[in-house]
Amino acid sequence: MNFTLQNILREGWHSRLNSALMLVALTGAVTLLTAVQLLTAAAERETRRVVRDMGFNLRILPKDTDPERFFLEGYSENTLPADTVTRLAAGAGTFITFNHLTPVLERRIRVGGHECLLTGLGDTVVGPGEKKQPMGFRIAPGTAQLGSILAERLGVKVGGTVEVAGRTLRVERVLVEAGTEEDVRLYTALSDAQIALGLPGRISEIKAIDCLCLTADQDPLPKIREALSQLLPEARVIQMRALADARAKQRQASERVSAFAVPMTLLVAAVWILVLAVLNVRQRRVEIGLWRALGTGSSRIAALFLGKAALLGGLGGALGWAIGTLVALRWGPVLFPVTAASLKMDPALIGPALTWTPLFAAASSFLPAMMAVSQDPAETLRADG
Amino acid sequence: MDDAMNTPLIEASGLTRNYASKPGVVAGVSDLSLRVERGEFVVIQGASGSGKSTLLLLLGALLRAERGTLRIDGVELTRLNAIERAQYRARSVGFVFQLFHLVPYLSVHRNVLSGLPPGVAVEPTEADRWIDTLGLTERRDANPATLSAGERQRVALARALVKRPPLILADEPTGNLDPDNAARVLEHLDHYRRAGGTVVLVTHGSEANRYATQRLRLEAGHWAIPSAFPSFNDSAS
Repeated sequence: MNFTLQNILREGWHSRLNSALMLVALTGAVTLLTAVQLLTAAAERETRRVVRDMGFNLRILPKDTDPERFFLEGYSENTLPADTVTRLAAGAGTFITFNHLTPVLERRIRVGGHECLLTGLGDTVVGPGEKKQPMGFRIAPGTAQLGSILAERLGVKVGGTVEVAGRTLRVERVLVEAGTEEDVRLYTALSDAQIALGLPGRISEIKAIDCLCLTADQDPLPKIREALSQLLPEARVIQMRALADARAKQRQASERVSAFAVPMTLLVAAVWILVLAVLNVRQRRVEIGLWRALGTGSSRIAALFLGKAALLGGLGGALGWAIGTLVALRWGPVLFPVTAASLKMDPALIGPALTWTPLFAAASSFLPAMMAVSQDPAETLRADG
Repeated sequence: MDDAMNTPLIEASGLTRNYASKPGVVAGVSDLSLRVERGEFVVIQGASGSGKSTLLLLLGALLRAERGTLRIDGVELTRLNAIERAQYRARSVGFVFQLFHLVPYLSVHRNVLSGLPPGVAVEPTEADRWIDTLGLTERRDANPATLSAGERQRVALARALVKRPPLILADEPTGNLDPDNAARVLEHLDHYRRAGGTVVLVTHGSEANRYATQRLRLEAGHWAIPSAFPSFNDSAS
């Protein structure tokens, strides 16, 4: 008896419709999973970019900041040592709760006869091993970025200069109109702001985002405050709750989509393959009875079914990876225009597709294969009593 | 002469196997005894539901007896487990069915080869020899779906004969054939018997009677007519 691969291929060709439907199920599942994987990564990038653009949602202030004054002025009049940010970054578990730690020194000053908000930004500190882009602006010493109204009042354009406390800074950028206090803000490097304000080595706050990504109904603030009280007892934290909530909801929505799509795809594919495999067994009852009559062992008969499933799984895995990649590359940019350029084929997915799909197909065909080997050949071969 | 060759090929006693063929209807065989010598052509007749196919499946170890003993070629089948019964079938029995039961996705040649047990080395030309002998040379690479009923049954016969088993079990092998093809198949079975093989054939009809060395009739799971062939007497109880 010849149970070679050729025989599995012959049977697969003979029952073309069943094989094709099984292949469609497997290819469809892998297509969906590959596309979901690529698009989920794209969605995460997009989400990251969107929430980054939402800005910081935590403001870590000197503990003795008067909240009333803070909200009226928009900044803390108290200061912390500039190295507070490095001490916070070095704390145990800081980046479980906080990220994108950006030292800021902020004051109201007069420039060219106009009142504005001077904001000095230091380098952003991210978690160890992360390659995240800074959330705020990166401003080189000796340069400045101006809000639209301030630039208009001063009559300054990009490439021009602005005098700040006796120092000349080159205007590198004029920000688009924001409709907020950003329009009267003057951004400089932290060091320039410290010199201009006569506050060397000081900062007025650390801006950050929270990593907990809990929505308002889950109340993340007590956790954030508890973490900060241990890491930085001399500071207090204010959460911009609406922003934090929007950010958390955006991330959670993205995670829920993946958490639903992946198991749902696998479940649908498994049921589809199971039904097709059962139909295949029913269709082949007489053949199975015949193999049994010819003395073929159960393991060899099971191998016919599991081998077919595994082969189709391998083929479906390769096709699904290719089609899923094409789908993601074709429609991903439409769904995620901001990060479209970062959508790329991921060769690392081909290995799992070729390994797990045959195993998944074989596992889905296992029950029908067991049905096949436990089938009573006498029932199918008996012509009559 | 080898002792084994002097013993009957089949010895059954008190053989019983019942099953519910339809709700409330119990069919099968009950308390059957049988003795078949090597080189016999046994024809078992009976109406539908008389138990003749059940008996054939018991002889082929596709069914397990509920009671009684069944010794074939020196092997007590009732004591074998599933794996041993599969090995027995692979080694010692060739089946021929009324509905041919060819593997639909294999060519004639590969269907014949499928009759060989795993690991059994035969001359590569053995399958072709049977294909030629049974007049299928032109159809060697054909798909079973393209064959006539007579051709299909001859393929099934070649598949049963290719391993040269001591016993051929034929279940209505001529039931779907025209008289010419039926006669041809029976001639081949008789030729195999004359070459030293043993045939047990169950049938509704009478066309195999002229080849029979022992003829038996089953009615409701019991023997109805004692052996009509004195040379192989005492086969039926």
